[in-house]
Amino acid sequence: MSDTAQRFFSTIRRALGREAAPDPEAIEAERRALMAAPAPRPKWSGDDVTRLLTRLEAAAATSERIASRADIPAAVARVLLDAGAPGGPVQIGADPLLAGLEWTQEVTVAKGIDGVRTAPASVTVAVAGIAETGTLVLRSGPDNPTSLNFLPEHHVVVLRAGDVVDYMETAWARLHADGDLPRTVNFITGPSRTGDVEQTIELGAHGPRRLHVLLLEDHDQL
Amino acid sequence: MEARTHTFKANARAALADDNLRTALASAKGGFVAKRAGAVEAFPDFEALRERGAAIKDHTLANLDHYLARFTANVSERGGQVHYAGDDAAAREIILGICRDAGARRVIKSKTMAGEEISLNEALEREHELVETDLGEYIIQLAKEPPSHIIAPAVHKTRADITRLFDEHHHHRIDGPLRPAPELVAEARQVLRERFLEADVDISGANFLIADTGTVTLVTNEGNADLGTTLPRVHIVIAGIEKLVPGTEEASTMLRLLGRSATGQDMSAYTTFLTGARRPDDPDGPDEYHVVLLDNGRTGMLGNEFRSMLRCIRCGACMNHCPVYGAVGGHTYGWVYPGPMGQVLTPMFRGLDGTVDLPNACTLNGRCGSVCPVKIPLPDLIRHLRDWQFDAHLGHRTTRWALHAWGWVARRPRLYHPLARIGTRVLRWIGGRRGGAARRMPLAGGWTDARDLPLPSGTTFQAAWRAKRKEDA
Ligand code: SF4
Repeated sequence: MSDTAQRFFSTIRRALGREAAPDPEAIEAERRALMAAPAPRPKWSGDDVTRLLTRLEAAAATSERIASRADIPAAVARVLLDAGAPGGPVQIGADPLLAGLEWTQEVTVAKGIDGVRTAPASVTVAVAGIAETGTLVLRSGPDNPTSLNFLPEHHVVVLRAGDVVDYMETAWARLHADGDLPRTVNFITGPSRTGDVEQTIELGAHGPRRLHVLLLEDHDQL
Repeated sequence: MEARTHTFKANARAALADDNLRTALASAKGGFVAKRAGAVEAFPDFEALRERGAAIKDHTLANLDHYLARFTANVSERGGQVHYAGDDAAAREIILGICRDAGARRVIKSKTMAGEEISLNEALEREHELVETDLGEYIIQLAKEPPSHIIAPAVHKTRADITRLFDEHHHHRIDGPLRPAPELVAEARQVLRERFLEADVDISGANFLIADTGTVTLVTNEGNADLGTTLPRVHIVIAGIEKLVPGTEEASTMLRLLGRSATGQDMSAYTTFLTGARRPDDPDGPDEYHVVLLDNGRTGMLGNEFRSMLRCIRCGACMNHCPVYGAVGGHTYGWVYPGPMGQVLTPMFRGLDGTVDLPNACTLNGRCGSVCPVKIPLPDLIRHLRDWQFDAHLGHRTTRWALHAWGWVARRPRLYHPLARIGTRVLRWIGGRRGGAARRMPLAGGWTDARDLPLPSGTTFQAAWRAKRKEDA
């Protein structure tokens, strides 16, 4: 430990009235006791997928259910049309769910992050959806680069119905089960917004103006 | 930022005379209060959530050395560099050093109160081109003003103010027509997008630091922090040590409290968890990642009666519900942290001298304490600061003299009772035909200038109590 670090820690210990490093097991035991009671959380009636989509709508996102991944290109083409950029390009990462799709002729697909600065739209795949808050969970990496979630004005997220979980804690359990956390985990709940001009909410402050969710009902594929 | 806390009264007078400011504050306040109320109402047991939040923070603070060591180890293991800054000067030095080493020319910054606390902007602007990317922060950067609210920094600006600023800085024109909000937001997006793409370094704050995984949590609605932490080649986080929480489980509880208390949202649009540096196969993200941890007076509070103040998650609910803040606005408080949380933090960080008016700019109505998501007993802490002031012989001479005299009399019942009887009668007589309240009071002009003094009924409590007992018997 450097001198600065040592001084920093000893100031903290002095303030806490202890001489040396504390016993980690005692702390862990206290922590377990503290977290033993279930967290107070919102409740809902009905299924998790409906809750998720309702909360997303409340957060100004749009959504549609699709039956299979073969429906992705057509759904994305509609988003591009709404965006006034029918030809795209639409930016995607290396996620296997998006590989080998049959895109319509007029839509250009760009892979990776080259071109993402100017692409009007992007598609990324969520690893989970949280019903509690209508939140999409995305992991960074070559499959779904983080810049795709923020630079284009129109963001499409594909979420498998089977990946919808009830609460934030359940989503975390899944993320931890996949091993070490990636550099970035994004919890996304609606498009970008600001209330900085007289507290009226405007969408598309810096990130996407539109967030469109494709809920993939097919459980068999990938 | 230079402190103007010592001129609180003059600041307040100026603020009260500023019609533009009053319009801005009035329109903002109701919105915040109603949105929070709606979100809390919709939650099954918000009180239990507050209890849990407070307990999590207390546990973390009581073991801060442990969790800090754990956080540090996890960040370092994942390629990040952790720096410790004992005070503001050390933090500035570290950050400027990183920028210099990186050969940075353009620096962008997303809203950070810790950054304000260490006067980071002034220091950076001397050597670099600096642009704030949160829209509110950008607006006040153009206006060359400090933030007036911890989550809505430009809350004191009207649309006319913003139109004027954008006209001047983006179009070099004056006297243009008032512009609609969507147009202003779109223009800022366009201007700032360029800044994101050309920046070398991004500086952000942190809402929570998660010890188990070495994760920095950022909560925003605009997405500016996300562009900032993804595009430039260097990312620096500056955060107070009190931002630690043990794990993601605890962070989930804290997030439920934060959004609801700040803006009435269940969840902000973007909650981002950053764990370490860019991985070898990551197509984007910064090459260099630093976390600067700031003490700057926090350990002092950790060791005294004000430890509970370190639970603060900077949600802004206390100021949104404060009648004094609602009347005078954030700048009046004269330093980075306004409203009730600032009334406690500022004297802690900057000393009691020069902040004498802050603990006294409070009616002790208790609303701040009752809305605080982590149950900080703000009114008690404010009252406690008044005791400290008294012990430190600060404050106004007449007040001290009067309190001494009252204390002397109150300790002598034989003197106190007859004097109290006479006193209440005199007050009653002053109230006279108007009854109930007095408009003016000798020696208390400062108090009665702005309000009426409620008057006693003409008898003392003890006399009334005796009479009632007799009646009952
Ligand atoms: S003191 Fe409480 S209410 Fe005020 S900003 Fe901090 S957490 Fe929020």
